[in-house]
Amino acid sequence: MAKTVLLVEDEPNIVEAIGFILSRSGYQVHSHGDGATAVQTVRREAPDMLILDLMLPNRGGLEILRDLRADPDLKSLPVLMLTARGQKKDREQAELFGVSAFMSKPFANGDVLERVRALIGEA
Amino acid sequence: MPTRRPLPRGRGEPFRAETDPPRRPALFLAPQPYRQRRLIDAARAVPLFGAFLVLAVPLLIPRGVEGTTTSLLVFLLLVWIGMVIAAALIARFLRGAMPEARDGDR
Amino acid sequence: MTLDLLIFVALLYVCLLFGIAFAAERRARTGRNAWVRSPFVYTLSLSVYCTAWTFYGAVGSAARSGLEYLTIYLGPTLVFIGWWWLLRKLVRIGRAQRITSIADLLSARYGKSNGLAVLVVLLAVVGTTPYIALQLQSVSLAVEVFAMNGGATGVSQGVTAFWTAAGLAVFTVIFGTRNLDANERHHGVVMAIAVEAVVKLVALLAIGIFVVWGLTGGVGATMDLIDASPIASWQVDGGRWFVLILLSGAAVLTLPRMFQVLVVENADERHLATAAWAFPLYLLLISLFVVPIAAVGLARMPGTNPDLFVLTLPLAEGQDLLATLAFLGGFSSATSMVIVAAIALSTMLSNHMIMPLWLSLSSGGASVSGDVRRAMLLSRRVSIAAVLGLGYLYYLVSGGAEALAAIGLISFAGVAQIMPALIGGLFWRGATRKGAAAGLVGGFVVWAYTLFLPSFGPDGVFSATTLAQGPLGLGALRPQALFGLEGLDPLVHATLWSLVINTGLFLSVSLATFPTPMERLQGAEFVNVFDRSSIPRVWSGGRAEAEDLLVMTQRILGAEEATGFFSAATRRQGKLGYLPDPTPEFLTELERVLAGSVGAGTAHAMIAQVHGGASISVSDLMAVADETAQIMEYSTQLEAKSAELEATAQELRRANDKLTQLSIQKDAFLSQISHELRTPMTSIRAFSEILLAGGLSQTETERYSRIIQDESIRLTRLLDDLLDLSVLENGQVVLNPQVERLSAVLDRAVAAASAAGEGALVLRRDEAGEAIEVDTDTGRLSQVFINLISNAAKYCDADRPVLRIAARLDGETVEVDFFDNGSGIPVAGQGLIFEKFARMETTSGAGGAGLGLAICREIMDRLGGSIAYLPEAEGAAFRLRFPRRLSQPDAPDPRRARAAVA
Repeated sequence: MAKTVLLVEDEPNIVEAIGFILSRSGYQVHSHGDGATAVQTVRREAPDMLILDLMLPNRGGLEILRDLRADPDLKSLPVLMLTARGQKKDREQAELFGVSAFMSKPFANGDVLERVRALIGEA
Repeated sequence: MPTRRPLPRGRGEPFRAETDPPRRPALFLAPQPYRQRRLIDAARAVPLFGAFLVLAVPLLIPRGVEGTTTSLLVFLLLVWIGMVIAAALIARFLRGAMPEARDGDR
Repeated sequence: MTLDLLIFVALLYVCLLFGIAFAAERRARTGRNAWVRSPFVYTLSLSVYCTAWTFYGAVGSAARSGLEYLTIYLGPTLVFIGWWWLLRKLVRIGRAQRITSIADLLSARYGKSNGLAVLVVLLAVVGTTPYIALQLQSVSLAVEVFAMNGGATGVSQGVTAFWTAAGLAVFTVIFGTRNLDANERHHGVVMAIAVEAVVKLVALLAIGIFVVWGLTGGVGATMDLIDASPIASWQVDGGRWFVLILLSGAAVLTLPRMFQVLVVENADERHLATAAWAFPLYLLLISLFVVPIAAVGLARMPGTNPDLFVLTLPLAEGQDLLATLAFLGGFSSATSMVIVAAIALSTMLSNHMIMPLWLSLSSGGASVSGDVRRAMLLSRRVSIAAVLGLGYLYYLVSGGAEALAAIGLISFAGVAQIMPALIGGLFWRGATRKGAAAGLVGGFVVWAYTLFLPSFGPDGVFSATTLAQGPLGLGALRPQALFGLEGLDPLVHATLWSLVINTGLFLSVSLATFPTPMERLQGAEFVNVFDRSSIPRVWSGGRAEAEDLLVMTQRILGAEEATGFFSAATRRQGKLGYLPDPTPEFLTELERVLAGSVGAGTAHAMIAQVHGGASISVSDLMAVADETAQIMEYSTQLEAKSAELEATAQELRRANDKLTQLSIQKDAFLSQISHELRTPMTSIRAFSEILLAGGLSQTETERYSRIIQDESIRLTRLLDDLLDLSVLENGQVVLNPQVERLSAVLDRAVAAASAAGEGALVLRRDEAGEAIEVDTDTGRLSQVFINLISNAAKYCDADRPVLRIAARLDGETVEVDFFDNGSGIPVAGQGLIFEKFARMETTSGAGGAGLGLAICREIMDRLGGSIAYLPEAEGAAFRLRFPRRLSQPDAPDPRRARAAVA
């Protein structure tokens, strides 16, 4: 059974791009666009990993990450965080909260794939 | 206006704080002012010495002993006369210098 | 010796005194006063110190307590032997400042304050009145002794006392108020007192010689007699010995009568050099035979009043002549004290209480109202009568009781309260008027409470219970055991407490308060009296009218004397006539002359009145500048500096806050920009790579290419907006106003918004309202409209989004509202919507950069109008207001541009 990746991102074009890249390599990709309900979605879908945007409507990515890490079931869920803000302190904060990997937008498609493989292996 | 006396200046000593006592030339001392200053010293010392004798000695005499009144009376009269004579001698010399007697006054 | 004969002798003696006084006055006026002004007359006049209390009472005291009486003479002896320390300075200041009394001295020292003088006057009157009563009592007691000895009983004590008081009043008025100028000295009085001093001394010495050689048989036998008497052993309490010497030493300076003869009547400073040893010698001789007389009296007349041994011993031995001499000696002691005390008190009362009152009551001031001179004389005479009347009254009320005997020392302790303020004033420049007043009042109150009032005996002023248990049973406030200090002699107790509290208050209040310039000036004058060659208290001349001054001076000194003084001054200035120029020297001299008559404070005030109020001249101020100005300048500088520092610090804090805020804003702005730019770039890059990798279907290729295109357009629009905003913010925008109908502008905006693809929105417009001709930059205005319409299209969350546009004219202001039917903007976001990128955190992302409303605000600002969010509306509602006619500045304001850049 293919590994699932949940993509929490509010930009439809970016969702489509990442979805295309990962599904072509055999991963099953779901997406979710609202920060407020992201944590429930993670619990419901129980993905193999999470790709999380930092700037989301209603609830920021950092807060979502913190909530995930506070949940014993989701403590070890691999999380790849994406940001377009390019600020160092965001990365430091994310690492403090226990992010698995961190990437800046824009990214090379191969890099995304590589990170996902590093975190959860081949699909 | 406070009159400030010109400060005598020693050689190689261009400035002197005002609180320093004025230094007088050491080579020559006019006998008259010198004698006068010593007389002023005496005029100041005699009453202090007299006050000590008059105030302290009677306090040291034991009270209630017979015959002490006469001896103490004689003692006090002698001190008294001594002070009068001393003051008279000093005043005799100071009197002449009095109107100008500003020097040596602190 | 009959009573009549005694009265006849006494009257003869009084006539002799009158004659001597007249003669002395005449000689003094004709200038042949060398003999009158001899240092020995000065010394003898000091003997007013020895009153009837000492003349009779010393023997009584010796009979009761042995050598204790000596303290009363030893104190003054030490003060005079130590003249170089204190007396010399006191006399110099008294002469330099033309001091008229002890009250005047303190008044002059502490900034010419009359309030302080009044305090001292009250203290002096309270302390002296019982003393005068004591003198009257001694005279009447003596007369009674003679009367009983002669078998007569017809003379009551009260009658003697009354006639003595009346006679003394007449003498004092005649010789005490001949001259108004206190500094011209009372030659007649001084001479009479000198004669009386000789009589006193001769009388006591004669009795002493009679007792030692006539009754006892020589010095040796007298010594044996003393050794066998009840007073053979030294009984004196150490505390009393010390305190009595202290008090008598203080009294010789502060008793009003002593100050009068010592300082005011001093004709030549050098007389002090003689008095310094001659007066102690006089005191020595006065006290020489006291113990022998007491011892012999105790041996021969046991059980009788020892206070009267001086009279009763010769009478008992049948020596009428000697007894008469003794009576005259006692009479002399009493009368000289009363006369000088009355003169001193009347001067004080008149100068410090009556005249200031009179001057302030007579409205026009000294130069225009009635005859000051006559008023002065009258007030002096009334004061003399009042002082003697008070003394007589006190004698009557106290009933000549035993209590009077103690009044001498009580009086000493009272006037000793002046000492701290006096000594402090002479030697310490830091002593202030408030300190002196506090010390005087404190000391006086404690003295009255612990000594004076209890002296009236149990159930006098205080009840016996109050004395024993304290007022209201408060043991700590027992008058004779204050704060539990028990077992002390009442006099020692009272002196200790009053002087400790007095000095403590004087020092602490002086240290805590700041003196006035006049106080500082006078303080320097007094403390440094020997360093000063001239008196710096200089009047700056100019405005004082010489004629006014002459009128005023005539009223005080009398016409002849005033004119003489003025013409002499005119001659000295090298002018003709009698009106000198009011030079500073002349004014200072005049003030000194007037001060001799009316006291320093009043004279200063009078000249100030005529002179126009400039009481402190430039040189005055320069004299005190050495301290005051420096201190004040220094503190002002410090103050200014600290204020400056504070302001700078505050400015720095403000700047720092601003910078911090700017830095935060800049960071936020940069991260927003970054996000806005990177997001479309991410899509572009991702899909470019996908396209490059190949292997896509035709549909996919087309779709991805379109995404790339859309995102590129979004990116371009963002950059355009950014540039637009930057241009608007920097004020570099050039407006192109043109006249156009508002409906046409809206039409264009709607068309442009629809072209951008937001077509689902239904528009409701108001054709009538839009029929407004506007003269503004319609291109920019249309940009605002487009923004608002596309916002509504993007964010209105209603099922069937509707945007209502309403326009109207409010005077010259155009108002256009945009209402949609969505849920609007949450309250929390309303404050931020016009900020750059405000959209980001609050609304769902859909194209657009979040710069729209910020640009709208800038444009409306440029058009002289505004954009506001209307929170009360149901959906999102914006209201635009702008002037119909744009008033454009001729050129872009460069200042504004710079400010915006900064």
